[in-house]
Amino acid sequence: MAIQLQNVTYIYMEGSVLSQAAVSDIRLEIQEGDFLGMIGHTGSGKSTLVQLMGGLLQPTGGRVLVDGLDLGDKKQRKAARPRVGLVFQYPEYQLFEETVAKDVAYGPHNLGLAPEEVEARVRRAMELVGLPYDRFGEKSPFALSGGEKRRAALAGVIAMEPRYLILDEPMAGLDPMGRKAILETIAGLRQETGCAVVMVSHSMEDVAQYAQRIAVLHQGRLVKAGAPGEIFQEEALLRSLGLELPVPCRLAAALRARGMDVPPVYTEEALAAFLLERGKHV
Amino acid sequence: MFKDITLGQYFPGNSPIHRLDPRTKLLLMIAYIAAVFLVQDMWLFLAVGAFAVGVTLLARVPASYLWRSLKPLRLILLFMFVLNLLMIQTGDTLFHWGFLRITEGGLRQAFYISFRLILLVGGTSLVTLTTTPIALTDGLERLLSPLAVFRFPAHELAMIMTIALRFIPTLLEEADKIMKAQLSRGADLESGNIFQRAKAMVPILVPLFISSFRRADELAMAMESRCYHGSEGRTRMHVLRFSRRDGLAAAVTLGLIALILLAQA
Repeated sequence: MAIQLQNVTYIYMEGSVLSQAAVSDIRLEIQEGDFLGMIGHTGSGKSTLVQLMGGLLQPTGGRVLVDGLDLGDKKQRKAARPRVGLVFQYPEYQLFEETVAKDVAYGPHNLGLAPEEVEARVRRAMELVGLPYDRFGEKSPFALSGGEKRRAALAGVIAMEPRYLILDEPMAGLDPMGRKAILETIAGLRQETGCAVVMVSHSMEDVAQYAQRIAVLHQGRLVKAGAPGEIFQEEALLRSLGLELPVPCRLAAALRARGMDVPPVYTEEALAAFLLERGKHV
Repeated sequence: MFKDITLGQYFPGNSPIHRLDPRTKLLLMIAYIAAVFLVQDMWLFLAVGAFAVGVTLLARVPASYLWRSLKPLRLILLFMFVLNLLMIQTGDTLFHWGFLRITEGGLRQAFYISFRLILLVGGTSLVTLTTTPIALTDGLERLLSPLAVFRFPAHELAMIMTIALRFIPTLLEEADKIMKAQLSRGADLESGNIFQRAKAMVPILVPLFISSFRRADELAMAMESRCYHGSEGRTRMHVLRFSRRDGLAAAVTLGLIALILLAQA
C-alpha cells in the first residue's frame, strides 16, 4: 500500500508554443505511514507534483498509483480520491460555509457517510486541530483569526480521514506560534491514525525536524531522495540548487570549524542535547 | 483547468499598425464602420475588403487569428443571409416554390448584409488584435475626456475597465485553485441536474466572491496610499502623442473611404 509515482511527467499546455515541462520523469514512492518532506526552489515542480498525487492533474507521461489504483483512470481515480487528502497553500481561502462545523463536514458529507459518522468525524477533526467543537462549531469561519482559519481548513481535510495527507506549504504566512500549532497537529495526526504525510515546505528546519525522508526537487526533476541525515550531508549539492542547510546544521558546522567535535546533527533537539552533554564534562 | 484560455485577442507585434496611436485606430475604425454601412455596391464592397486585407498584411497578423474572431459569426451570418433572402421581395423573381419566393433584390441584400457583417467584425478585430487592452482603454479615455464638461466620468470608466482587465487572469487562477481544493474534498461538479450543479458551485463561488472583495479592498487601499484621487491633476507616464504615422494612416484611410463613397455617388 503506497502512493507510487512511476516515471511521472507533466507538461503544461502540451503542443503549444508555451508548453513547459513542470515535472519530468519522477520516480518516487510514499509508503503508508511515511513522513516525506519535499523541498525545492520556487518553480521546482512541487505544487504540480502535489496535484498529480491528488489526481487533480493527469500526468502527460508515466503513471500515478494510489494503493494500486491508477489515477489516470476515471473510475479508479474516483475510488482513490478519498484516500488522498490535499491541503493547498493558503487553504483558508476555500472556507465557504456559515459555520465551522458545516465547513468541516463538507468533505465527509461528500463521501456519502451517515450523518452520525459525519458529526463524529467533524468533532474528532476539530479537536485534533485545537478548535474544540463546542466552542468553535457554531462560529462563522470568517470570524476566526488567520491561524484558526488555517486550522479549520486543515480540519476539513482531516475529517475525510485520508490515508495520505499531502500538504503544500501548510505553514506559509503564519506566525511562529501558528506554525508550531500546525506542525504539532500534523505530527499528532500521523501518530494517532498512522496516515502518511507528504509536506512541501520552504523551511529546512521544519522538514529536518519532522520528516523521515526528504525529496529534493529541482526544475521538475527529483535530484535526491533519502533520510534527512543523508540529504543534509550534501551541502554543496543543496547550495548549488539554491537551498540552505537547516540552522542547527549550519551551527554545528560553524562549531566544527572552530574545533569542536560535533557529530552530524540536523535538529535543534539533537544539537542541544549534544551541547548539554558536553557541558557536563567540561 | 483555465490555463489554456487566452485572454483578449491581442497579437503581439511591432508593425506600423501596432505602433499607431490607439486614438487614431479607434477613430479610423468608426470611419471604416460608417463606410461599411454606406456602401451599396458589390464592387465597392470588394474595395473595402481589399483595404481590410491590406491593413491585415501591414499589421502582419496571421490570417488564422482573424479567422478565429470571425468563426463565432457563422451562425448569425447564415441566419441573416437566409432571413434577408426570404423576407426582401423586390425586383424580379428568381425562384418560386410554394410560399418561398426569392427575388433579385433579396439575393443582393442577403449578400450585402453578409459582407457587411464580415467586414465589420474583421475590421474591428484588427483593432483589438493590434492594440493592447491597456492602450485601448487609454485611447478611449482620451477620446471621451472632452465629455467631462457634461460630467461624463471618462477617467473612472477607463480605470474600471483597466482594473477589470487586470484582474481577469488573477480571478481565473483563483477559481482554478478553489475548484481543485473543493474537488479534492469530494465536490462533484459534473453530475446531477441543473439545480444540483448550481448548488455544487456554491463552495466555489463563495470563496471566490470573498477573495474578490478582499482584493478590491486591498487594491483600493494601495491606490489611496499612493494618493490616487481620480482624474483631477493626474499626469501620465505614457502620454499619447499623434505622430506623422498617424497623420499618414488617417489620410490614406479617409482618402480611400472618400473615393469609395464618391464612386458610389
